[in-house]
Amino acid sequence: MSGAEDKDRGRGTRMGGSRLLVAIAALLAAMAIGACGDELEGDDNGDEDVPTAAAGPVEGELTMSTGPLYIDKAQGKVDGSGSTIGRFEEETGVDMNYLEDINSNESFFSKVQPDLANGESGGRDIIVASDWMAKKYYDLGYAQKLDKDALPNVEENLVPQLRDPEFDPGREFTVPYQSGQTGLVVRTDLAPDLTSVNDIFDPQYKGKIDILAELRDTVPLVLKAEGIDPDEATKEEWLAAIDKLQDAIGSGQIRDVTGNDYIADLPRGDAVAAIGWSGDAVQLQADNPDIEFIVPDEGCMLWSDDMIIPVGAENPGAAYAFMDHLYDPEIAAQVSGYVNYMTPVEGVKEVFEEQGETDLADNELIFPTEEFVENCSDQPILEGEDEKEIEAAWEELVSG
Amino acid sequence: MTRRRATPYALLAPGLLWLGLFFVVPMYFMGVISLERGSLETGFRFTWELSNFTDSISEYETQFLRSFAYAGIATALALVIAYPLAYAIAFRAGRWKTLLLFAVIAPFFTTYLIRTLAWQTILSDESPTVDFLRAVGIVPDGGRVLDTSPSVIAGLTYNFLPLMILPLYANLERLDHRLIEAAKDLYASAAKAFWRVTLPLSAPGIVAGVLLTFIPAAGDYINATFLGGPNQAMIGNVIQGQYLELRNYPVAAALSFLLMVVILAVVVLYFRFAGTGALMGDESRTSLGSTGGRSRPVIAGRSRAIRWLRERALNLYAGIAVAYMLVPVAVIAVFSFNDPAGSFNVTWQGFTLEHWADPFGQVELTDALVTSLELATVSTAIATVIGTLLALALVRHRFFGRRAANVLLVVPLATPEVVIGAALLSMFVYLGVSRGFTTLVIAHVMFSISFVAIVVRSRLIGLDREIEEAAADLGAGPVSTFRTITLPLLAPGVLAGALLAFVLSLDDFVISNFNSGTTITFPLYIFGASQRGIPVEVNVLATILFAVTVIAIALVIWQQRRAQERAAPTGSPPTRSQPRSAEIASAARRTASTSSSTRSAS
Repeated sequence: MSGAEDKDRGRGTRMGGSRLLVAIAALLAAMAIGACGDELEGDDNGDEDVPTAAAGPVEGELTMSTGPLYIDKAQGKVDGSGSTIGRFEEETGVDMNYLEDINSNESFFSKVQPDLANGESGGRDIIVASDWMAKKYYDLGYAQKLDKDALPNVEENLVPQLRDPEFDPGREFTVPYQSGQTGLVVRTDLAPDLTSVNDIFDPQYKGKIDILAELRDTVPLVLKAEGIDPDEATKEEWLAAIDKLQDAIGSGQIRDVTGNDYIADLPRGDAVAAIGWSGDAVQLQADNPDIEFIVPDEGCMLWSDDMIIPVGAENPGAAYAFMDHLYDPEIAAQVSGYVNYMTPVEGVKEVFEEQGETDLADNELIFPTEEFVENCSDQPILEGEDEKEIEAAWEELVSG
Repeated sequence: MTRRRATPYALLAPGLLWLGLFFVVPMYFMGVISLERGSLETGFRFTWELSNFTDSISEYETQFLRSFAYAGIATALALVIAYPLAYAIAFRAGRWKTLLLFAVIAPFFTTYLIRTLAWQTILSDESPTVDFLRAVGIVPDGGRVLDTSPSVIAGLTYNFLPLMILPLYANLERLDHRLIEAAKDLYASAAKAFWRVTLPLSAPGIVAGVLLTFIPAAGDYINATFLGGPNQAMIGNVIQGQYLELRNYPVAAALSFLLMVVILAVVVLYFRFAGTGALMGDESRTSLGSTGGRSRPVIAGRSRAIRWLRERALNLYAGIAVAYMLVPVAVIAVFSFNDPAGSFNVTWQGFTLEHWADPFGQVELTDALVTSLELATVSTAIATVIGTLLALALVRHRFFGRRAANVLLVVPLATPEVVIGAALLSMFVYLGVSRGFTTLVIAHVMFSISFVAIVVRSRLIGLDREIEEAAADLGAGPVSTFRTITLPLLAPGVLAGALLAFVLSLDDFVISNFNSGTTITFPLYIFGASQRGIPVEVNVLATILFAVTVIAIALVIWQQRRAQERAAPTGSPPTRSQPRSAEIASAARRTASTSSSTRSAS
């Protein structure tokens, strides 16, 4: 290695450095110019009048976005003959474009947000979103109000407890798709005495506890365990509950904060209990009877995934018709028998009984009794700066 | 003369245009956003919000450091695993080397998420692996592997292995064995020959592999999500959370630029240390010249037996490495025969062939896989051509802006996926382009170009130019020289680059999610399905994809071999140690003679 080469190398790097500086300066200058010109995404959508989706003829093409494995299939297809969608297409002549393209509330929102901000739906007529996310769509002016006259089955068969939720009083812009409870999913063989959310802090379960990465599921359960009503809780109480969980993560008491991959930790024994969803528990139980969904002593959380009609939807007429189709108890039973979540439709239990499906009819997680959900509450509403602060604290817990 | 000067720009044009339009422009908008403040509710305003940057540094220092530590260790481990493996494939596998190359890359045709979930199974608390580690004392009693730093690093190491193997292979494959033999003739021991000859000659491959592994690994979030807990969160998780969960687009953008700057700084430091020649392809600096004259002749005192063992040791090592790469595939394959009653395919429930009876019966799943395969094929074809041209321009030509073009190539690797995906989406929406298959192709080509170019570049650096010059001397025109000499010499590099692009395209989730419109790819379907349970058919399809790839390549090689045998029944096949350049040199002579004869005829 000669000295000349060394010098050469040094010069090369310096040159690279100055070029980089020039490039950065150019970029900054360009940004400054750009900043004077346009206001990117600077759309204020305060409280302008939210339109109502116009009921129209039931025909043409209907596009709905939801997650995979969330509806029954026939012949291996979601629109196979005799399936919920197949029957809808047959009855109405509508060509349904059922998209299983939602993998999480958040990532789907980020994907469609730029279109919706332009008043376009990206071709979609129905979007499925969890309660709080549905509210976000609506608050930002991305969802339309619903015309109840176009939803006679929904008006008739929606279960009473879901008719007037706090996040959408009077169900002005959402129709529930499926519901469920959030509580404790427990390996009763490994943690027989775990019945309260407070028990997850018990040192004997150290490193064997998972919690959900969902702020509005996990934290209210902790608040309830401390005797605080989540709906009345102050910002400080929320932050204190998050701190408590943070400490438990720091000490190794809590193993992981998961999306829903606690479903793998429980059967493998990597976790003995998790804050989790009833629908998952039904599926896990099928393979391991020791896994049980437990409504915590202090009560559980109730949630729904809802259907909304986004702004710019091209075929609201068919969208209404499909939502209403799902509220035919016989159809609802068909969906419920496949997905095993709590159905928001009245009369499904009777359909199962008629069909002799007693396992399903007697399943407390699909048809919870009054006392089963006695102390359960809806997800609390967070708003404004408090919401931002609590969400930021939560995100810090989730990603270190 | 003017034509010669225009050549590098013509080679660069497609790549620079693509990266300029679909990377630089969207990232400019992200640059603007990174200096804004506000929220979706109130709107974002440009305020030169530099605090987005300054606050991020102090707030997320831990995750930055952790990411670089994890990525650094994973890169070192990947190098240790991949180097002997790539070496063994390049030199010991003979005519089977393409097959072996596919066999070690095919595990990565199974989707990222599925592979990572397989590692969860392998590393879970009660698994045989961890029992064994406890028994030998590596893991303390009652200790665990899953959801710790080692498991995240293990996941990173595994998942990024193709990014290390392929550039190493592309480079090593062209190594002239005669040089090593010459070193041994000069009494260098095997170790000495390796340190003084093989290693320096393969430096461009190592540099490319280290870059391609380290940079994306530092920005990764999937391994930390599934194999770690909150205490293992990396900067990729933070950016993902800021963007998706908090919808704090300015901070997410600022964090991404910070990550890019830090990574580029690390890269610059690395090149200071490793020598810019490796980046720029300045042949004089990476050639043998730097080692010449310094190696002292050492009397070979080793017995034959030890040398024999040594040669076996490499094969043994390579065998173990291949086995290691196949372990998750084995887990995926075993679970394709599982018989769960519920919708989660997590623990063993009993054997069934049910899911193999109609592997394509899940229509939506199969459609998604077909879409992904089409997408990967189209985008790989485009990215391979563009990336190869870029590499040719960067290594073979000197022109104004070469250094900048080299840097531009590295920048997309350093950009977190969520930000480039969102930036591209914003641009498409701004331009009123509806999203679908076409925009997916645009995005996939965009992120593949750099990978292809860097792999091909690592092949080109130090490639013997004399053969091409000989062809030219013998009268071959530039086109026929390229076709008959350069391209065959480049082929293994191009193949490695194409394989890499294919794997990356099949795996991509984040960028695709933003720009897919209503199109659903295989990873999009699986990420969504995992919310409610992954059908066993996913394992079946993944297994089929792996098996079909390996069998297809084996058939092709077997047929080629038969054709060769039929063509030359008496002639002995070329021995494996025969340097490829010799074959090509004779091809050069043939080309030259035909082209000169055509010239004289006209």
